[in-house]
Amino acid sequence: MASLQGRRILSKSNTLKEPTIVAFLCNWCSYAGADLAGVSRLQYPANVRVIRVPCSGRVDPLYIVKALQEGADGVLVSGCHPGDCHYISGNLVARRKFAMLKSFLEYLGIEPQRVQFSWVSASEGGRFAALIQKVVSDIKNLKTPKKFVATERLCNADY
Amino acid sequence: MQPKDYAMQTIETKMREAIKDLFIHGKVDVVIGFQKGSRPQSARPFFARSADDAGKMIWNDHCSSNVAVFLPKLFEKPQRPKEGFKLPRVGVVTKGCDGRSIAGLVKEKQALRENLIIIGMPCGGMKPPSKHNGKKAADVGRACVECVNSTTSGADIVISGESKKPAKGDYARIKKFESLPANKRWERFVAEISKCIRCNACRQACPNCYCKVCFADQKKPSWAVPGAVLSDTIVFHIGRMFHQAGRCVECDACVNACPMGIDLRLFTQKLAMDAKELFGCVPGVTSEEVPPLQTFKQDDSECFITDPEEK
Amino acid sequence: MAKDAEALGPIADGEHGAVLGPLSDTTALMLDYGNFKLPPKRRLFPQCEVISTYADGCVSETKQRSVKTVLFGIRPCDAQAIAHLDKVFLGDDAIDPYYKSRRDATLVISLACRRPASTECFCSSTGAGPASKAGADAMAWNLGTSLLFESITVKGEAFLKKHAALLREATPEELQASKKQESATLKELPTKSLADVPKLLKNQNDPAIWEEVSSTCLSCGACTYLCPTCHCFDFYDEKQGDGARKLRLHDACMFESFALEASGHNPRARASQRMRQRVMHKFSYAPENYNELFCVGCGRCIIHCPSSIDIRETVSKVIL
Repeated sequence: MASLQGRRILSKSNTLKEPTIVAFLCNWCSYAGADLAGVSRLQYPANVRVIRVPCSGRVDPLYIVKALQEGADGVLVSGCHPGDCHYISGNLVARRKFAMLKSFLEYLGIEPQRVQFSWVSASEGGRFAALIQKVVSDIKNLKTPKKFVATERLCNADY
Repeated sequence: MQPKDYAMQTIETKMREAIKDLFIHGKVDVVIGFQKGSRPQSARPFFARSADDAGKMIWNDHCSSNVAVFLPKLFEKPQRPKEGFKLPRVGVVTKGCDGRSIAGLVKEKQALRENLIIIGMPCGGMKPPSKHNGKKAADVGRACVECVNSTTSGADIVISGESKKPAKGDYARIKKFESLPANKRWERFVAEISKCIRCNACRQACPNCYCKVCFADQKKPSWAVPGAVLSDTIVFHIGRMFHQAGRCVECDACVNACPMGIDLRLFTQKLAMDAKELFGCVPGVTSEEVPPLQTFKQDDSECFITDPEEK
Repeated sequence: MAKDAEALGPIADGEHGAVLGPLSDTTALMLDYGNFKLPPKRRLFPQCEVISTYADGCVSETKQRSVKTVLFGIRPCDAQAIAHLDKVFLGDDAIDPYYKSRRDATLVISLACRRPASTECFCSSTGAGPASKAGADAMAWNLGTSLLFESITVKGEAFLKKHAALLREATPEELQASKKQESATLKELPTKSLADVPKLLKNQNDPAIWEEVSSTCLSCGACTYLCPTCHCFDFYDEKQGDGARKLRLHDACMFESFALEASGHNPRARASQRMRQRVMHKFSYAPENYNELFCVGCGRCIIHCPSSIDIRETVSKVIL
């Protein structure tokens, strides 16, 4: 996780000024799609911090959990459409993993809008821009503060 | 003697005979079972290494530990095996939950089925260990009340006796928790996890936690610094529990091991429920060849995927 | 008491029975309680402590907490454990300033045991006892209708004098009652002494016996973290934005990676080696270094071990 410089550097404030979304994009499809959106001069909110991964299947659930802990307002993972994975089945295995992770995090009480998964192909610049618009507006519309960050206190509570 | 005690006695005797027999005929190197504990009214895991040891083994409703936890280490091959090294032949006295764990371990190549002799016991439910002064000790552990298979299928030696009838397996408690508002659920989760002192008993007692280096012990990167901030402890528990996704057999070994009485089952069972509802998998019961998160189907559900172009 | 110091004592807790918590006018003091799960040592030696912080190019040590604290009503075994830790942290070689500042600001008033806290108590075997005075500044006796206080140290005497208005001189009957209570409790405790163990452990070098006693050990850390005398710790440097902070955290010798070296070599890779180290530390090395058995017989490790390993049995099996 070298790209996330140091701990707790992301905004810890509970007032949602400008949320920070950490996006894990697969190199072959979603990252290329994001690139296409840029080249096409499509406007989308600047709240996203992109981390390029070889495949959406590479995304360890711990990355998502850690991003939330370090102060991300939201996490997005985007990969190739099922059937189009550069590594054949990486996104298919990931699909199951993400289904369970999303369900588990929601069960624990983390808002479903904070952790989202999508498929964006290399030619879908417009879709990528729309995705970011949606995720950012979902998070901006959340009334509740970041729960994970609020638990950052020294475990000195003793009994 | 009460009828229940007498029945237990006969089961115990039959078990001892079977194990003695295994040693006499040189079929095993060690048998993992239970012996009388030093605490009043308790049992604890025991490694029998001879026919005499077999005579010390017991079977009663205090045999709650999951003995499958000892298998990965027993079947560990040394880095440079000595001449003539052979994996041990291990006998295990199992309840339904132990059997489900073993099925998982065999699937994940942490135990060699050919070297195992499974002695399937009838289980009527076990009392959890008593160490929580505040809460009243349950007569039967929650895992046992909700257990859907109390005996081991595919056992090599079956000791007959009365077993608990399978529960409905409807995850009612999880569904009830799900219906609470999100902030109440998070509050409850944090309240439970706040009790954690990072002793790692849950991880060590879990048969599925056999990683040589746990993610929580890694320094580069450091996922969950031990005992510092509460959010790290939360990362530890989310990580550890999620590593059980599709593998957890709901044995409650983690719950019973925790000295602080954290209600881990409230969270681990959610994963077990999802494995069943999303992928039709009940680890150790349904006989899939690989755990559900190691495989996929073309028509797996996509309802959780965000579609930005959806109207 | 709560006016000029933070007063902590046994209060009821639905989850854990009794916990060491803040006392106030509204919290009910539990004078008859099974021992706390977590040992009071954590008030002097917390699980996580910020030692220093690094920011803007300079290092600043954390200002020491010196909030006056009264630990009231802890059991004599836990108080004796504090006396043991004093030898470790306030010893001749080096004084631990973090422990010292907390220790100096803490007054310990233990509560003599009316009965053993659990069936796993064996303080009588370790040289402690249900009315052991070590580590306490004053001792209280719950005599049913009255609470008898006895000063032990100068600090304790000063405390009792300060609150003399609330106290009266004890009657001879009450003094007798306290003695009776001690012998009655002793009757319920084991009589076997472990004083000889250091001598009998000295030449125990057979690896097989250690393998046997540790065969079901899961190498968790429950025993060490709950032990009132265990004191191993680790330092951790944590990045904080552009700076960092140094943390001191509890560590456990029973963890597999406890002795793991940077080279990858682990001198205590087997559970038997770690079990041996723990037993020897408590029953052989500490007696050698500090003239004390570093086990006070509180029984926590026996109650909470997931494999129900009993240190009393372990010791009796390994001594020669």
